[in-house]
Amino acid sequence: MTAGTIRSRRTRLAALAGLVAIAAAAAVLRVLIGRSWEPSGWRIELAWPAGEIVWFRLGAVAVASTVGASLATSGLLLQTLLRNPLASPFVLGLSSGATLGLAVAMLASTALGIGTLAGLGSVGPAFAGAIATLGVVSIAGRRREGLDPLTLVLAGVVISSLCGALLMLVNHLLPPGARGDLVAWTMGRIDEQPESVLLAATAAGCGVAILLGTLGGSRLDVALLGDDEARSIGVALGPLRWTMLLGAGLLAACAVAIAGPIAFVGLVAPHLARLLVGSGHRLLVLASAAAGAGLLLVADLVRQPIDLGAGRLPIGVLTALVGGPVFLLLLRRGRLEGWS
Amino acid sequence: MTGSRVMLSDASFAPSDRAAPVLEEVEAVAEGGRITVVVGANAAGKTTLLRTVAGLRPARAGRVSIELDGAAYDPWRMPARVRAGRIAMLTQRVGLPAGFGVAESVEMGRHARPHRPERILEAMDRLALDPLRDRAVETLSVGQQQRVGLARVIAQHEPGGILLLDEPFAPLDLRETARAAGVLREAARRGGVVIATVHDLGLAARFGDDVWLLDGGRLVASGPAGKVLNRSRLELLFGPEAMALAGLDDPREGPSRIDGSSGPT
Repeated sequence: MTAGTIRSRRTRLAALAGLVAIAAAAAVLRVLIGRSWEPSGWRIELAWPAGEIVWFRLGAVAVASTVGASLATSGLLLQTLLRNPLASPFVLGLSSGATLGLAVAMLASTALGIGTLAGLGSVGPAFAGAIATLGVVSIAGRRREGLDPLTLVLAGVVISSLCGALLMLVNHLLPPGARGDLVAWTMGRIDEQPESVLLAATAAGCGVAILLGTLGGSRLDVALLGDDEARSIGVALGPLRWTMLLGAGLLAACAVAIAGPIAFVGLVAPHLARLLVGSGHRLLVLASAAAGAGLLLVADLVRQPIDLGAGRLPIGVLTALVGGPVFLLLLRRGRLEGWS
Repeated sequence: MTGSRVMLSDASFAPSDRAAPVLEEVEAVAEGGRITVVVGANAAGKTTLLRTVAGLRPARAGRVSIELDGAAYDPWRMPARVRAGRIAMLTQRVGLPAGFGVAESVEMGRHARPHRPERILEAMDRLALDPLRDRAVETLSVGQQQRVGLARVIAQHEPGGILLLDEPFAPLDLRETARAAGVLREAARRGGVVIATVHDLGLAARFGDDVWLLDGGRLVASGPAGKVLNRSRLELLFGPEAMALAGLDDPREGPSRIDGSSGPT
């Protein structure tokens, strides 16, 4: 590839295959990697796990790949919808809404004396919080001629700030013993025993989004043009934008409900995929999902041997520590230029 | 396709639902086979007029219709995909998302049309884009990007359809202006209605068959370019300094027409 030219289709297909292979390899390694305790400390070993352990590790693989792919697909849809390279599920305030939902539910359960939240009990409020945020942002971003990308972003930022303030208030009202659970959840988690119904529904939803995005790739390409141009070329932007917003919002809400607010995957994975397979959505949607799944699987793999303080390094901390510099690097290399 | 036409009947145009009309009571017809140039000062309503004819905005009052094969349509009420097969529009700012190649960007123009690779190749060939086909669009000069935008609307445009262009020549050098003018002339020769906004009065005079002159929220003159673009009217609109700056003692005087034909008739 000479400077300034795009990659050939064959190279792009090879890059897509490479991304899928890396994600698959990370999944296999995640199943094989384990630790055993010896007097000298923890020892890392790679071996097929015995007995029930394999199911726990497969559970973690399922969570990481589903959440990673969902966040990345959601991020890509939002970047296309908003024509904004900085868009991600976090921009719309979904993670803030989910966290606030969980915090309010914790406060209510404590006040009513019904114990702690677990399983679907914690997922439900988080999901409700994310969807409520999505609803508010959508209403705020609505204009007579359809959704306005800039207003959506601004509404997301404002709602995030509001949710952050309310979260602090709820945290302040919680009894000291309950605050730890909330803080732990906000750091992100890859549960080895996930809530299977929600996980299966999210995986299915993500699969449908990838399929529709790939089949309708040329329509998503045209949506990147100016409004007038896209309409003139024959794309009805109104229905497309609502579909994308709803799809991106639901995927992000489910991902946050399952694993907590995990930063940067939804932002970085689409850019990484774009770097490898170009901007055409027919390949980009699948590549982005593979990159997201791969990123979270690798992150989960990397943190296995790292014990800090209360236990393994929280996944959200790791993705933020790695994702932040990677994103800065992309900015420095001008990979985000040229967006309208 | 025969008998294409754009008709504006007592039409008013506003840039948005809440804005006041920028043009009112416009009566005009643009015929197939001819190039109509829209001339007016900044903010005269040229872009709003084109957007309304393109079906991207409703007319505030009156009627905007297009006639194709004897049938009349209201562009605003046409489904987007159907409209894309009848009306192609080049916007003032060509949108070229980063990461796409030239050929991919031109191909977007065929999104709602049957897949015909030869149309994409032909459009690229006519705008001399073949050598750039695999270049990433964000690495092109502004003039080259404009040619990509032009090739996209040419790929979309069906013979005999409506072709609307908002400042198509603005960033082009003389050679590329002549090339683009030739392509648009060919679209008109095939029966298409070509309507373009042009700021350069000399260019407007040499490129257009008909001119719509906008001023003060009204269509102040329309008809053959030779009649509409006379010195006294233009001087009234743009001032004597502008006439001198543009070297337009008489806009119709000068070298032969830029599309290669012999000159005004």
